[in-house]
Amino acid sequence: MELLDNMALGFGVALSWSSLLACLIGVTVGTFIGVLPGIGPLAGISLLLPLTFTQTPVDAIVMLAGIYYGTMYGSSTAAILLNLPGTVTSAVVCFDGYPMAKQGRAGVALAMTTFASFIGGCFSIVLMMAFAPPLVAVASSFGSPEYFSMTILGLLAASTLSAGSPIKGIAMVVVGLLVGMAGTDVNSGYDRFTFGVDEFLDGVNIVVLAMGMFGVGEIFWNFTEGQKSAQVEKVDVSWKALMPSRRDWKDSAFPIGRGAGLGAVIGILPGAGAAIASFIAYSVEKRVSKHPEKFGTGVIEGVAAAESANNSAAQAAFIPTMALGIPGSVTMALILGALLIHGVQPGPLVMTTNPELFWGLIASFWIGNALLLVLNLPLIGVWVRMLTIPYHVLYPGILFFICLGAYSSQNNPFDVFLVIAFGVIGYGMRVLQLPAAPALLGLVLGPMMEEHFRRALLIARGDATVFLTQPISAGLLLLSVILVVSTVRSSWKKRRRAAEPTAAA
Amino acid sequence: MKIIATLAAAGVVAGLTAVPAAAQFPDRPITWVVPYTPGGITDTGSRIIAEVLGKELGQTVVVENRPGAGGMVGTEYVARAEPDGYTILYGTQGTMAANVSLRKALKYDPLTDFAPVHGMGASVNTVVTYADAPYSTIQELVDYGKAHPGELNFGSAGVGTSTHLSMELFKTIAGIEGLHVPYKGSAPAMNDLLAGRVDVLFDYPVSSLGHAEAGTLKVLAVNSPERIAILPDAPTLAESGYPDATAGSWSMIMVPAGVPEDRMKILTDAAEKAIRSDTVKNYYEKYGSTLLLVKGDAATDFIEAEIDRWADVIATAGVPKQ
Amino acid sequence: MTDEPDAMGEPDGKPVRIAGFNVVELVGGGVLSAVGIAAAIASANYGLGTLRQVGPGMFPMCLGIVLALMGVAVIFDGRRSMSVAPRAPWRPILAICAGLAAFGLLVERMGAIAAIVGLVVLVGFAEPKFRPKTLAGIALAAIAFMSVLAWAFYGAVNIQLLPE
Repeated sequence: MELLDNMALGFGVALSWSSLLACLIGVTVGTFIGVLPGIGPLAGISLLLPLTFTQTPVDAIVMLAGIYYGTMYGSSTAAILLNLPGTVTSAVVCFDGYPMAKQGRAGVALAMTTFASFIGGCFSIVLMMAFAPPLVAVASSFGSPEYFSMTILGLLAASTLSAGSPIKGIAMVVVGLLVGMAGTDVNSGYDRFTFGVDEFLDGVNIVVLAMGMFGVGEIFWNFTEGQKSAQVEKVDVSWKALMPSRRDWKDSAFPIGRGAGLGAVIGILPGAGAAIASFIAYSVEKRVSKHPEKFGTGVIEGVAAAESANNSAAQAAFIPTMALGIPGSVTMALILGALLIHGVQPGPLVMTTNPELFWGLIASFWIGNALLLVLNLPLIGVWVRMLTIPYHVLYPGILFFICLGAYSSQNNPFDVFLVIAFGVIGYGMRVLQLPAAPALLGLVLGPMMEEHFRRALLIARGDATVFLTQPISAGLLLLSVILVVSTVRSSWKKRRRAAEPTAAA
Repeated sequence: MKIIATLAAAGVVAGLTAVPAAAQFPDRPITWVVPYTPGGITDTGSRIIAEVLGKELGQTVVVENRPGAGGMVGTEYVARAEPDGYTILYGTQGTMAANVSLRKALKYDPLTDFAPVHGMGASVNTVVTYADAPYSTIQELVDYGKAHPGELNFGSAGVGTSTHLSMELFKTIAGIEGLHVPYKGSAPAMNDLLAGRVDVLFDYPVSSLGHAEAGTLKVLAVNSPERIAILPDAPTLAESGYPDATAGSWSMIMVPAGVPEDRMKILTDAAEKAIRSDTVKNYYEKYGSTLLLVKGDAATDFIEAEIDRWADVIATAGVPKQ
Repeated sequence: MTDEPDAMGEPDGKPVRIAGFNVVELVGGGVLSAVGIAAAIASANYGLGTLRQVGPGMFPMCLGIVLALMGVAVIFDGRRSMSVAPRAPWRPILAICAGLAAFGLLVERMGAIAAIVGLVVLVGFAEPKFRPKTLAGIALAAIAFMSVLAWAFYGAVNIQLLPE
């Protein structure tokens, strides 16, 4: 009954007035920041950080954490309405969310992302409460061979991301991997593909790339003859029209469940993160779906799985941060820094030395997720009305937000010019029918894959069997092989089935 | 048109009369460029100092993050900024000293493009190993390393960072061989250290402390001149017999070269008061850092000496110049 | 006076072919191959290293070669493709690029207000009909939004509204 005691302790802390207020402020600011493309959780957290100096450690961390997962909720809004991803994770929501908006189902997509976020987040919280210590052990058992094998599995799954020709899909994954090589090489300190530009030393900023390719590229596309934007004459903002139908729920139930599970597993790994979780959840749904060809045209499963995985991973990421003192992302590092300022030393002892903080935070996640649900559902009607704005009024506004996001993410005008370049490239790719989604995943996974491959060999002194002698790594590689074999077999079957009628005729 | 001309003339007059009134510097907010992403020790530290410094100056000090290329993007920006005292920079051991030897095409010169205002903190590295390692002191580590040449893995937070360079310095002075395994920041390196995938890590006191208390890692030494308050049991490298391996990174408030004398004095005095304040002192202590109390010519000499020192380390360690 | 896209697709939507290859796929595959070859050549300078110490050039080199081959595969795979390239909207593309560039150039030199005005005016030329009143309204709204943001998020969003 330790779990119940812990929960009682946690809720006792999180239900105090000051914690509730901190949580409310956090998630509200987070939602607002998330809706603005390009202004990520980092800006929000660093802004409110000084405010937390006078708070108790629990209230401080509850508020900062609220901003973080509040941003995750909000960031899908611009992705669905305008094809404008403010974070890498929300780029996945663009794939099917924006086509849904074009079909006039923006409200359903937004509502489903809110529910999926809530369910994914809650799933992860339960998992954390019940199994935090063993999960921590899993996280620390992942070394470079394991990470490398995981990226292989992820990339194979990605080759199915795009709708068109599989060859183009794989080619674009390779393009993404290559773009990911740009910048200072972690293993040697060499600069690659930087063309003497300092801004490229840190590699290509993925958010800038996504805003250019998806956001600006989409505007060019809308100006192309015969294309239509998501703009509509009139929207039905009745509760019934905005809420997912029974059928939508039936389609989404399993994807949300699978997404939540995948997100939790991937989110625990300190080096992986929510972006990879949502990409992989989307690929998995496409693979298990009865109608994979419809993915990318506005199927609700794609939106639901990606969003559930994303939020599940976002919550799970707190496990390595709190319990190991190992932040998986810059945002997590910032939250760790806030803990330190308050004199809480994160590490293996945090659960025993500061149980009220650890369990209070986890309980606050629940409260925060519930608050976000209440906060976001009524907003959907407001967001959907935005689509009635005529396009000639809307597009300059979208471009303004793109500029604002690109510039303020690093206070560097260079990123605005980068957005132009990626917008033109994105449009060119669309004309040539080269899909952008696999390239984006290649870009996310590429640096990870190379870094871990080389480090694994470095530590193993050049012994390439290390990928097979480590059990987790070997298991992941085995899964990859099964994936390839099953793909080849099913496509062979399909081809034979397609050939049969001709033979009969 | 007349109105505009009058306004313009008034503007010119106001601009002219504003010059002698510069004694009231600063009369508008000061921008403090921090060339790193928000978060992390650097940024948090700057925000705490900014608040105290702002109070001393009677003007807000706004922290502006201009990250990129290990601090070079923001540093270059300040090198080109107007030297009017309203733009100040967070300078570090990396951007102001090590980069001179690490970067072929450095677009600024730390000594001629900048002037130091006041030192901030000197941070140390901890030398840590995993809990079951067969050595518990620096001497045992060196003996082990000599008995098993090339077998030890030394982790760092990245090629060219202070953790890497301090580690190379130590390896050279102690005369042991070991493989350098670079990571992208100290967090993933710590993950591999705890699991024993790397043997020794040059880390920061903050991230070592929690694990040291829990007994999941052993602190072999700190590389500061004296023991640090948050890890009082960890001996220094000097105590362990390697005084020359003492190193670490530091930070300093800088301005673009050419800021008028009187403004420089106002800035320096305010910075000195801010750095010596209890708020800042406590903050640095919590992070296992010490205050770097240098200003004026002493600060310039300090930077010069650091540039030479890291040039030697980088040359000995064979870190490629980019 | 034939624009490139015109050469790729007839107005009636029939794909254009050269020697049996669809031009869209030919160009797409060609671009991929060219990028692959360029990457492979560039990475030859980075050092391939050994299995024990894999160099910074190994991965990009392999990826470049794979991409070059994939490009050829795309060309052949697309022989039966019915792809038609749309006519590129040059005027909107140029107007929007110019507007974004104006924002990038002005935001630090002249402040955000000037940058917004530059952006909105130039992107306004993307429409066949220039609408000064609508654009003025958008610019005002954007400036108002930016001002509120700069004020509310002072310290996190560092945007100069006016030149210093």
